[in-house]
Amino acid sequence: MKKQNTINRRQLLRGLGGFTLGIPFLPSLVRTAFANPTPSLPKYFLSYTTPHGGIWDTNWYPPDTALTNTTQILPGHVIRSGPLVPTVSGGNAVLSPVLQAASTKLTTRLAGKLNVLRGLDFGFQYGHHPAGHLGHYATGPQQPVPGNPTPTADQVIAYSSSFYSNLNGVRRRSIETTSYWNGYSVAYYWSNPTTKSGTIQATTPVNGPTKLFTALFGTGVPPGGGTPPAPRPLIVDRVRENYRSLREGDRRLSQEDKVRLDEHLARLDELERELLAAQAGSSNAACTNPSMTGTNLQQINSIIAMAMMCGYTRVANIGMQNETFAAQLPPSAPSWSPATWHNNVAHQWRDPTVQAGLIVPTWQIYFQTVLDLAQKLDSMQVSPGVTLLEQALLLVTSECEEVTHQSLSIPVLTFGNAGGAIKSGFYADYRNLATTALGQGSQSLPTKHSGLTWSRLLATACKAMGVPKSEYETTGPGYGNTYLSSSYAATQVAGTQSQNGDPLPIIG
Amino acid sequence: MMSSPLKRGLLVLAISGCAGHVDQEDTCSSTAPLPSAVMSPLTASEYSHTLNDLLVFLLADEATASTVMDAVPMFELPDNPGRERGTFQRMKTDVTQGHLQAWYDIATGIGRELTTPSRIGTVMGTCATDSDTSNDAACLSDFVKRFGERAYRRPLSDDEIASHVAYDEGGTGVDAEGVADVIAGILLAPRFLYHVENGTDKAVAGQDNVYVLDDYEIASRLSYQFWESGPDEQLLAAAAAGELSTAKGFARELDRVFADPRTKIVMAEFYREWLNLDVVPDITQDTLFKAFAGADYSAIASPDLRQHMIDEVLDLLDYHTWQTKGGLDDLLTTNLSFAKTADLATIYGLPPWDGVSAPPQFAPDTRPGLLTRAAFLVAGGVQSRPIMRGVLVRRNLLCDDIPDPPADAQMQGMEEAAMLTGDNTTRHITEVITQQPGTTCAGCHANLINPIGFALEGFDAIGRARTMEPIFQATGAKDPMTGQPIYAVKTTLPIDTTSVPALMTDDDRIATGAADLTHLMVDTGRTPACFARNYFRFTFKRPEKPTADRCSLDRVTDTVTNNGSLREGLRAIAESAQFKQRSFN
Repeated sequence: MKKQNTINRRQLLRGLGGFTLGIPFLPSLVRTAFANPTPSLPKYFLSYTTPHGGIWDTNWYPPDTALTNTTQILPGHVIRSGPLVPTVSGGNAVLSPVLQAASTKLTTRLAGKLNVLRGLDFGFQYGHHPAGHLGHYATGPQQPVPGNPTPTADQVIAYSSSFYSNLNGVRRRSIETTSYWNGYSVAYYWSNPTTKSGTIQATTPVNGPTKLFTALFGTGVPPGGGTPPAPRPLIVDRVRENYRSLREGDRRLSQEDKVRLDEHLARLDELERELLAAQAGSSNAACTNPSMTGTNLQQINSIIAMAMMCGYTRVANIGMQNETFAAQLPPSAPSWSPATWHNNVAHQWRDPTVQAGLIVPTWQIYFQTVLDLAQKLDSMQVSPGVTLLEQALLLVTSECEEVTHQSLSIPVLTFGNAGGAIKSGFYADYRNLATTALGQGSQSLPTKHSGLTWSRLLATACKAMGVPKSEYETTGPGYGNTYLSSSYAATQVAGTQSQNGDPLPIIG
Repeated sequence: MMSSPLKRGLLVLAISGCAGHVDQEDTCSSTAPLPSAVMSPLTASEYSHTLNDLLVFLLADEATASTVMDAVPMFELPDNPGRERGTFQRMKTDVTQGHLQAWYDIATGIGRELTTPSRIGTVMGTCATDSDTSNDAACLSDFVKRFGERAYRRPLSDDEIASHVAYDEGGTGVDAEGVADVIAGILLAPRFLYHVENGTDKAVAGQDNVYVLDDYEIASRLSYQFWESGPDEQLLAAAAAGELSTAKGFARELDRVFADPRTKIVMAEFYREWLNLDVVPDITQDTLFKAFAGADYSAIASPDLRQHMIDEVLDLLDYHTWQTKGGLDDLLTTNLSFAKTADLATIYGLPPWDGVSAPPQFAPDTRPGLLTRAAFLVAGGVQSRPIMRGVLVRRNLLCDDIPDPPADAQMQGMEEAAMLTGDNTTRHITEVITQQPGTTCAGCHANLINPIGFALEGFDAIGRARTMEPIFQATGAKDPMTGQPIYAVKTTLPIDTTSVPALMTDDDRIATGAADLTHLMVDTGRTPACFARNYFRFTFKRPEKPTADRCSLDRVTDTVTNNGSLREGLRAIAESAQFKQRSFN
């Protein structure tokens, strides 16, 4: 029988980060973090995103009636929240038109592991980005943020010695996989990851289930036992000496040549570590080869979940095109011809026929894909009574909000509890409805209220993963570059920016 | 062509921030500081070609080399197809953890494949498989020397030979596992994976810390520029003899390298990327396309149509570059069709070309040059894209600085278009979306981008000539196979191809269509400099510096100006002083 992690009345009345108003304390409304908070177990970070946006708020978010509580987080800023309780009817569990699935999939348990967050904004308009959802604002046709490029949060986590205090058996610090046609990556990090210096450059995604399987399971000791191959002495030491010899030798090199060689040497160290981890195999008896059944997306989920179970990686970053989800629509679904999803679907977000016929069904498939991943993570126990999902944070986002390429109230879901650092089972609306609504560049576009910033979301994620803020704060409280456009900043109440480094209310 | 009676308000360019024409004000100066350089890794293409050539060298058999290549995980090699506009795949010089993982797996895989019992004797020589063990150590040492020289693109020093021999730790010198490690070690060495240059002691006069390259480094520059692979035996021999640092020896080898069939393949890659042929859109062939194609449907509904369009442009470039030794003006004005397949020939209204005899000809001024080829006109659907056609000309052929749209531009425009009523031509819709007075869009679109695209509106979304634009509507019926709506032509609207392209500052000449546009393009004389800039980036793997790189840029520009030979222009870059120099700042 699982132990209940209760919050007493005094703690609740003192507030979850602020002054709590509203309904009396009812224990049944307190969503438990998880059964056995065991911070000594490793944590796992996953990110899943898709480009373009375009899903109407009314199709994505649960109804306002679900927001049963109010909390004042700052003078002049009241937020709303409530429990996530799917409506079950005819075998279907429904939170919203998109957030629905068979009740055998969107179970009460999984709904209790889910958070739906509204009112999280970039704080500036940023369209067509591949990695803004993880804090990198310097790639893409629009680069609205001044200052130096910032690495993505998944890489910051992956290279934190606080997150990976022990790299035994870790074949890849992080794994990225996408279906992006243009070759963009979803992850960006330092060209010298050891010294965290150089340029911020894209990582290399491993795309498709076959390559992903090979990268994670294809070498070294096979999972589940079997006869391991006789380990060959690694040649990396001699290779390293070759690079050092050139670097330190008396042949002429430019300064940039030397930096290049230093970066290669740093990566050789990581390569050696990866190779040794592959040779060591997994210490988890439950580690097996992943199931390669179902759609490509389901196979990718299986590979990542099992790789995490085996300890081969603990950070995964996934980015899938809308068309990848739409490929699963039935043949009778409307065609988005001519030309591209971008022009004919994403930018037609306002058209009710396009919304109902293409955008909603595609986003339903997106939700069911991430639900599949969450279910797989929750099916694996990392310790008796503790599932991998309970030790994980799965962050689900998109490029933009209902207005394609705009950046207010971008859809955000979280699954998992990050080893107790994240509470779940909530619908939280961080928008400040009392402030003047923000225009979005055109009289005919919907105005919106600002909420809390993306840098706070990512700071919450990093903090939940145990990363010290010195490793992700650069321009002040919050993750990375905390730039805000002047029009956005004008809508925030005093003190908002100073709380950027704090966990998000309700869930943190 | 007529001069417009009205002055164009080109001051709007300055107000909008749209840079438009970039004037060349710098003059050639050999003392302008050469930009610093960094050793770049072999690109995916260079790595693959180099590896293949090394395997052929060791195995003396192309089929076996191919078998070995197929057995190793080449797919792991990061090969990002995306690139920033105005750049080339060669300019991607970042090294990621994914590169090291791939290089390691491939190198160790090659080592295992080359040391199988059936291959080790071929690879190392009979000394590896004979019964005489006294020659084993020398066998390995000789192998390292021979293989290492080809892999490093220069002879190994005694220390380097010894360090690679040592990979066979505790081995006999000819044992499979030890030799496999030796091979892997060479293929993981910096002098294999990177273009390492140390230069000679000959400093370049008037420059600080800039040195002339040595013969082996020059050999590598030649072979990688034109073959994307390592120097062959003859180039290495010329380097060993010091011939590449003489004018005569260098010219001889440049001629030979340039004449090699591989040069055409690599130069075709330059053309492909310069003209964005790698991003020609796919053509969605659904029920709407069927209505659009009309009577041509059965002929053009081919899954390979896109590739045929690309191939036609490459054939056009190949013909005018290598066969007729033509120039840029020929590319812009040619009235020859290079469509070899029935689908594209149908679009052009000419019989297919057999690839051997003289290409079929369009009637004069009906479809002149590159701008009217299907690959540049195709939109992916049934509606033409005048904006993209205009942007391609501005950025790729004129090197005008056309910035990306501002943050909310697309949203503004889409909202405006959504409010249109009735039937409208693509031109009108484009004008409504992008040319609203007082908007940030109008500055670039009204004056620089759209007029070029409008002049090409005489060709539809797959490149067929037209004078009317069909407007489609759903009939209400559904395709029984796919369930998709069936469309029919509702009405047709007349096309207007008149515009003021303004290809030069203060140029208000009117173009009435594609032929006028093409003549104006030639008249500007601006394409040679743009060609040179792009070829410079392709060659030196970095953006050009207008002052420091002026001499190299001018050498190519001057060669291709006034319809000078493209072939000579592609060759000319190797004759620039900069090709044989490097900065070590």
